[in-house]
Amino acid sequence: MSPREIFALRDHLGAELKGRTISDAHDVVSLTDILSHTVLGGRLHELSGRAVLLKLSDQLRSGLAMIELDGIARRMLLCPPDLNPAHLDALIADAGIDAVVTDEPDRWAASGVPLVVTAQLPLQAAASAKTERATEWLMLTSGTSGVPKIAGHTLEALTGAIVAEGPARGPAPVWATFYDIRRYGGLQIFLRAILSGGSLVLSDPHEALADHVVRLKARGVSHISGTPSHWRKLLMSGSAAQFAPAYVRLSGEIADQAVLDGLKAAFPNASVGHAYASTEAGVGFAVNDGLEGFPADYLGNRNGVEMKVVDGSLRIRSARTAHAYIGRNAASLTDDDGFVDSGDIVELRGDRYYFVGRRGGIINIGGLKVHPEEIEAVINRHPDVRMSRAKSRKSPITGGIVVADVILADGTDPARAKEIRDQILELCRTQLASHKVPAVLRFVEVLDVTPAGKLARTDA
Amino acid sequence: MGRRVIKSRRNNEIDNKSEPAMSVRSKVIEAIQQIAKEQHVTLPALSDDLSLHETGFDSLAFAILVARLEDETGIDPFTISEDAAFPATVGDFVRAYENVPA
Repeated sequence: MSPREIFALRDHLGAELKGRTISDAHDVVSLTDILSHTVLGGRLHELSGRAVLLKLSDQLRSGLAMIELDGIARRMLLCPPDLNPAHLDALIADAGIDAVVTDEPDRWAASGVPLVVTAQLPLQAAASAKTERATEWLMLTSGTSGVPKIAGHTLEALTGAIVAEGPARGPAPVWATFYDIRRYGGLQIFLRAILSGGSLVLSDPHEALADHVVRLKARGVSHISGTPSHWRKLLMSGSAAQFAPAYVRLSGEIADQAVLDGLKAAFPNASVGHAYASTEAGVGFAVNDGLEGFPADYLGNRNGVEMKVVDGSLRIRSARTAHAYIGRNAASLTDDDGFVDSGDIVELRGDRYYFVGRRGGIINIGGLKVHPEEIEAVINRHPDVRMSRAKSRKSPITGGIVVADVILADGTDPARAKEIRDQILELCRTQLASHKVPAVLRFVEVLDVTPAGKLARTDA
Repeated sequence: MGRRVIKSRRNNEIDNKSEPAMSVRSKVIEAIQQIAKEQHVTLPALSDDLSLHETGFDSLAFAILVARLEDETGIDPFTISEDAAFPATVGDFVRAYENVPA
């Protein structure tokens, strides 16, 4: 037996709070009596001690299966919806998977995975299970083009920031996220909903944004998170006016001043803040002063999270980081001192650090390194701009030049396009070195956002 | 190889206004003037035999010019051409665009 008491998700779900639900666009499931119900057809005991692949086509059953499996399975690997099926075999081998929870059992019949359990709604009544062990949570990293890396977490690490913040004051929050809960940013909201005694409203990739907002409003969502790209899409959609959350959070990409100001204007009564977190580094910190970047005195040891900047990139050591990459040829997740190198490049200006981009996202402009994000942050400051993407384009003269695609704010008069273009370029010239000023600026209707909610950077 | 005869220009001074509305030459000259304005470069009077060096454009300004003209005309004569010698004068530069088969 473990010398310490182990808490699993079920141990946070008492029946004392009535009216708690987890819902998606189709179903509403009560959390109040969830412990006496099963999404696994009553087969949870078969999964005890197993390494379970959670491969479901929807978030609702995934979340319900997580609640059941945590504390029973030895490990569970969460598969986000955009996982390339070609990578499954490698992931199954690396994680030592010996069971799968799926809603498509026929597809797994001949897979070689010894145990296939079907997740199904509606829930069935079942005896409550008792926590047996600390389940290892395996999450996939996003943003890499090859086989994603598997980061190993414990529930304790995943919930470190939530426990540190303490319970939400006032009425139980109704949580929502634009993220999928099988990604780190979304999982944080799922766990907050479980631990903080509230409800959760899930997103649906097939639902139009306007319909999603209607649903968020109808369910009384008070706390909601997403990437800056998710939020810019909402601000552009014109749907924000019908919605008044109290708590708005951004993470997963750089939150620039323009999107923070845009959200503050759209939701004047909301607390608007951004958080720094990643699958590997865990939750680093939250910034709630309404400004981009973070105060320089966040470096050092703060609430158990140690941060330093080495070679421009942010390094984090805390009990909230993943503990290892999992797999046969897995790289080391931390350096010798236990710090995770985030790969996020920061720059000190005055008494504040600003995120300038990803180390791997640098574009080469005539031999000079440029972070597309710092160009986008300047373009986004123009009041008529909602979203932008900078990238490199080959040039026979200098090897490469910066070009930018720009989405104008809703309702901008197309006749002003030339005037706005000149203003944006002038803004860039005053704020950026000349080689970072876009050579060509295009106005576009849409910019691709990845399933993980981040601006697609195919050239980076 | 299949080069078309280049129409020689009578007047050495280039006057953008006298060109047909959407001629290649006028597009090139207009783009040069626009970029000069953006880059705060004071252009001398543009003539065919003005060396590109004398325009005051640096390599970045030329890179911008070539990219914008590619967007506008669909042509990047300096990448597609096998014998891609970069032109020496404004006239050479304009002809590089005029001589690409449509």
